[in-house]
Amino acid sequence: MMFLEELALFIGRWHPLLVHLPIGMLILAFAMAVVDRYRKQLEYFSAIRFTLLLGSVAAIVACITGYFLSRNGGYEADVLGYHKWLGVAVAVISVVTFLLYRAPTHAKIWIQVLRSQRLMFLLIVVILVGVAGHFGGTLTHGEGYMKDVLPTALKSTLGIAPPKEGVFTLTNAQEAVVYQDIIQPILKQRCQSCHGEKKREGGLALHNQQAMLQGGDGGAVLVKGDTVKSELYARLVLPEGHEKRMPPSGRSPITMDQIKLISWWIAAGADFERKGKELPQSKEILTILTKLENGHQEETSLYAALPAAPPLPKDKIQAWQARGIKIMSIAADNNMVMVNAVNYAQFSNKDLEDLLAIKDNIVQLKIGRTAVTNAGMITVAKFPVLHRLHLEYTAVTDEGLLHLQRLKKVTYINLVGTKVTQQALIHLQKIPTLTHLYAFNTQLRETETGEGNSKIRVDTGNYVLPYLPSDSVIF
Amino acid sequence: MKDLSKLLNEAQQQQLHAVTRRHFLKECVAGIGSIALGGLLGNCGGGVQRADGAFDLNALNPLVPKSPHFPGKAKSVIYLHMAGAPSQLELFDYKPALHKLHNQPCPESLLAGKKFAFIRGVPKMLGPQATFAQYGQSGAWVSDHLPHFSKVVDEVSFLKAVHTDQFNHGPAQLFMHTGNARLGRPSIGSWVTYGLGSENSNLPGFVVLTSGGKTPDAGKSVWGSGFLPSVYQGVQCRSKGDPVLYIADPDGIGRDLKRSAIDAINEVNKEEYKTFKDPETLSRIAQYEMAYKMQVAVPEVMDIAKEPAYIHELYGTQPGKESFANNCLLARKLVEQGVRFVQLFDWGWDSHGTNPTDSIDLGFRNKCREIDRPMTALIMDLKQRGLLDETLVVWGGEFGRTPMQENRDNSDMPFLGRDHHTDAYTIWMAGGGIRNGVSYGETDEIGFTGVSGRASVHDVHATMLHLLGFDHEKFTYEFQGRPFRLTDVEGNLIQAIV
Repeated sequence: MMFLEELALFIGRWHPLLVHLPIGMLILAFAMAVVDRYRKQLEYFSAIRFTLLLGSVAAIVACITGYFLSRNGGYEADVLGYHKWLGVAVAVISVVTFLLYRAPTHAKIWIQVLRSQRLMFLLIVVILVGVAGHFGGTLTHGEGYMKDVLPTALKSTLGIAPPKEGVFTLTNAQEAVVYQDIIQPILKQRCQSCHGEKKREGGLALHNQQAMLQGGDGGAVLVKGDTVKSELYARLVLPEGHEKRMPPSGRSPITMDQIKLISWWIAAGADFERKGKELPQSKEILTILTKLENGHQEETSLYAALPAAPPLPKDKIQAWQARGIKIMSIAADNNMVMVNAVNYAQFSNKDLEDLLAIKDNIVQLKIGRTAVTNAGMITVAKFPVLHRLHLEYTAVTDEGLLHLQRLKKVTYINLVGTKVTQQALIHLQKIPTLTHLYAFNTQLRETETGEGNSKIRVDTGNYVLPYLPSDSVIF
Repeated sequence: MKDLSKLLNEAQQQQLHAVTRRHFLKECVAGIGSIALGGLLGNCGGGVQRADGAFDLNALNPLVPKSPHFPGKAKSVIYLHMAGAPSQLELFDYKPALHKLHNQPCPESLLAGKKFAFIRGVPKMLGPQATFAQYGQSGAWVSDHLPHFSKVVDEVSFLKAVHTDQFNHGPAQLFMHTGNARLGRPSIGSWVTYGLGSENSNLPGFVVLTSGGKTPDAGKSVWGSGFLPSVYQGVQCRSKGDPVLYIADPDGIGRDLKRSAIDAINEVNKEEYKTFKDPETLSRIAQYEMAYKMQVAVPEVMDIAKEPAYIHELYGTQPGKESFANNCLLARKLVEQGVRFVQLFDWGWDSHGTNPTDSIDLGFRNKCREIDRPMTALIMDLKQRGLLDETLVVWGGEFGRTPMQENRDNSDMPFLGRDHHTDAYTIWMAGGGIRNGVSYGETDEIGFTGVSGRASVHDVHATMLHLLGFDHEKFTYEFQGRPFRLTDVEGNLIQAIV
């Protein structure tokens, strides 16, 4: 039986080659049939018949080899189903069509009716060939292998949005089971479209513990405690462009933080049960874990956790731009904007109110060295997605900052050169998201409030580089 | 008015010339059609994809802010180029083994198949001419030549095994700044301003500051715009005299008169553009406008005399001089004002050992002293103003220097020196989304070549563009029928430092 199994596999491998024969032949038959229909003086009939015969036989052969190939597994079941039955349909209908292309003889009336429509049959065959072929391509190259590489200009014309990446978050990384809650979601996001339950490329599946321990055709992928020997990690850090690097080029890459988490988990023994707090954590890992908790994705996708911003009113933006207020979207195809008033020193509280029209769009507000005052901070507090706020060298004082407590997303506030005092820190400490506060050239001196536990990194500047004797040695 | 109508007349005549030519071309419909199609398709593929037509509204201003591919962490860049190529072996790449080999002949195996700019025959090894220690939490190795800089190493990431393929200054500088050793490509500053525009419409988007003395060997092409519209080329500002040549109005010409003159010229140019659609015409219009605004804005921003004393003390600046220190302070001021790319060139780093100034143990140390305080101050000052996290600071030369002592034409040099070396040198970056305190890449025991974490010039460019929000493989400009990239067909993001 072993021999037959192996023979089946061997025959199966011919499918991708042989499958092109019926495609070419059937399309050729169709092309000749069309010409034959509209240019009667050409005598194609026997050629059509012959091509159809070959095409039908080739289609049947393709079906058989395809069946053998599918038995090896590793393909996504749904797509495989479509491809298989469409392929069979092509074979069947092409045989029928071949039978309809016969010299006119006496036949039953219904056969004659069918014969008059034989060009239609051929058309259906060709359409089915196209659809089946596309599914075949999807099986080999993965979902969206054509759509994803459409020229960007065409994509936007056709309204195809770039694929969105799912974000997973944790409420408490320390209490979470590392494998189940951290590693498995990463594998799901990055690996399992090829190494999953349905499709096991290289014999490897990563969708559960058993499959992971089992490894792939090349043996185990997980060596507990040894990242270098664990293919699961080693393949991720091969140089870009390396043939064996995973995820392969063309697939969405895995982030550096995710690689580090995988390495952390393997190095700590690749345990499937233990919780975050039970594994040793370096400072770096701790930072990454905290990021997961906050729902922050990797910083490269700055602002990614935000809902899509509403469209921008073109006429208003035009008016602002004309006044010198720069409205810059943070990235192509993104309606989040940064506002910069560097060329408009007259920028006032009134302008802030105007900007409320796009309050759901503004993530960064650079209104340093402008005429905004404390009263304007009431308006600033109404910007729900504001992340970075520049107020340097404005007339804003502690009193104004009190209003900013209502900001939900702000991480950075620049107060350089303002009249704020120590009180500012007490006010701003109540913003849970705030991490960076710049207070150089202000009355704010201490970086701690005394209450402790502040996550805010306060930079009060005043750095000096003391004179060193070597500063004046000339060689 | 008379002059204006004369100019308009001339423009009209030009137009008539064009019409006759068009008339002929109209006859070849197929030809025209395919040209138009090519143009359309070219427009679809090339250039930066904008988020929204709304940001395109000012077609007359090519420097209007534009969006990158994805949200970038860095908004501006300060590039400190040490022209002449400083020795990594006396600054950051500590090689104790090289001490032991000092004055011994270089092993043949290192020389086999290698070509050097000046070394001939068998040179002797030259031990590190500096004392090293580790600094900061990151434990970065820094030599005693940079005592101030050693205090900010935790803000910095080092690339220890950068390599290039050019061993002469001119081509290597071109490669470092344009991604190609031959003339004609846009510099990285031009690419960045082309991609992102400028946030401040009163200042150039790309400013170049030189420390005086020699300009880079590769000439002004290192800040040229290549095939990009010339509006994106670097504007060289001087820290002594008029910041930009001829920026002051000539005697007897007032601001108003200048304005009406520029208006008239721009009117003519707009007509010209409507007819011929040459982007260079737009560049010209934008440049006239920019020059007019710059007359007020530039002298203001370029004046460091008004800075408080403690800032001068921090940087070691002396107003009115042409110096690297002054340029560092200016760079901070420019970035603060929304300038996109500030390119600094220092000179005198070519330590061959031909004379005291160009020697590793004398002149080189003077150079180190000259840059140590200002570049450290720059990082500190950007940090205290909350600018460092959005400003990428890059420091480096065009190549490194050999672990061997130079023996020009196979004879001993009068002073200690090192030859040009392409296989390994150090570049550091700080701010703008760079990780803190990473040292990436390692060289072999004597610092001859990188053994791990090698980074090419293209890799450095890819990383810089990434921090600014660009996928270097998609950031292209259509020229002569093919989309060009800063990184050509190479370059990988150095993930370890971002």
